[in-house]
Amino acid sequence: MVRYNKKMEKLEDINKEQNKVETLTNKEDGLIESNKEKKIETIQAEEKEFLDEIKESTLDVFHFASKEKFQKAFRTVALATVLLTSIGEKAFAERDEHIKDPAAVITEIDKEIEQIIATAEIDDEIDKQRDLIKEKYDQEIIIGEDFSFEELKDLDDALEIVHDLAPKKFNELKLIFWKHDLKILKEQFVAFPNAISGASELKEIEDKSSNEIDFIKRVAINSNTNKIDSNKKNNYEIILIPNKTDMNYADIAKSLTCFWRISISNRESFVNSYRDTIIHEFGHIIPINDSIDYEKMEDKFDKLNDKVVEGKTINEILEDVKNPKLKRPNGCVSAYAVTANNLEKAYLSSRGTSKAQYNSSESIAEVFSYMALGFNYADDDLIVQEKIKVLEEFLNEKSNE
Amino acid sequence: MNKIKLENFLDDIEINPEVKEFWARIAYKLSPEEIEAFIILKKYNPQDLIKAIDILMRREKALLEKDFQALKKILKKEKDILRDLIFEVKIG
Repeated sequence: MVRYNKKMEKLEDINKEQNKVETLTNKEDGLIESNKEKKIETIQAEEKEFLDEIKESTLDVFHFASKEKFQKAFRTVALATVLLTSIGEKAFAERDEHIKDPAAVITEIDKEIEQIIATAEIDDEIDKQRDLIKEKYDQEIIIGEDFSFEELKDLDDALEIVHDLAPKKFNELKLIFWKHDLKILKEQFVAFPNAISGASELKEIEDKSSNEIDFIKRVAINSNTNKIDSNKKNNYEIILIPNKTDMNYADIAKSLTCFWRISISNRESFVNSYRDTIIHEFGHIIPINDSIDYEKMEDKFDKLNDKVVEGKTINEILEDVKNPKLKRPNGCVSAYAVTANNLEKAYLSSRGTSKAQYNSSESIAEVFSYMALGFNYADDDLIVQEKIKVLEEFLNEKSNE
Repeated sequence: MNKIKLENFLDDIEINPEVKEFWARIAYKLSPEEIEAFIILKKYNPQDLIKAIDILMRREKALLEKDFQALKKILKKEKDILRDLIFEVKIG
């Protein structure tokens, strides 16, 4: 019995030893397993990071690349997306089933691709049109972002018309065309003469500006400050241009019947109103760019406009505008030069008896438009003839510089 | 939509039954974005689709077997393919 007990003890010892070895082996296996899992997790994290990066950086292509690259970009993004698919029961267990008709998805994708390619084609056309404008004229021209093809076409046409009328004065200009999207400015075109020294200052102002209104304010301040600084005469002129699609000239003409510019009034259709308003802005910029001669010309216009007013009231002047045959005050090519100053008064009938005033700056811009667009409806008006002569002289004079 | 359509998505591509079985297993677990990506590849670059499914299958096997060496090789292959592609997109 004693012998048996001793044997049993020995056996127990052996078992204990075996258990120890087994525990150790299990621990080692556990360590190996845990190491493997860690390595797998590291590889998976690296893989995800790589594929995500590929996907994101390829998506950038859609913002700037030519359409030839879109197909390759689609291919890369699709491949990265497929490879990002989490595989394995555990990964799938966390997902809901997504059932989607492949035929419907294909149709959607086809539409998206067509749309992106169509947009790219339009973008190509816009770039070509932008380059065409810049190459056509031997001078500094900066055209901002977001212009549509149609708007650039109108701009191109306007520049051609202005250049034909006053090539010398036009060639002296350095120009920035800036599209604004400010509802507060509505359909306004705004010209800021002598506003910016160059692209770097423009960028600086853009960076400093907290929003579009702030940008315009800064440009306006620059323009006003530079006006009196003779060292800064050779700056860029900025013309702010609104969205063409926001413009409804028929409504403008209807709602402000006395607010007639050449670009809007006396028209059967408003098809060229956008282009013609750009031309009107050149009627400001070209004269103001030549400050000394401009002052002389403005004086002459003031005197001619005094002859037109001759103590008349606003209402008397506006009678001419309401006259369907005339649609303009006598002595003027449009009503704008008078309504620009008297609009508020004209609407307040009690003050309609005030003495009418002319805005010679607008008067010059309107005569400029009249000449540039080849109109002749006011040619028999002696004062208009005088105004045309004064402007012609100015446009044919050599620059002061 | 019926299940058959998505299941039969790969029917017109010459691939072995193992791949089709794999597809049938994952198809209804995919997100809409992933399905779109599969469809784009099938429509425009079917060879990429075959390569991609092969990678996914190998990844699944490597994960089951906890074979990190195989996973490393898969990652290297992915990097080779995609780096070539992105070079073409960005520079080529």
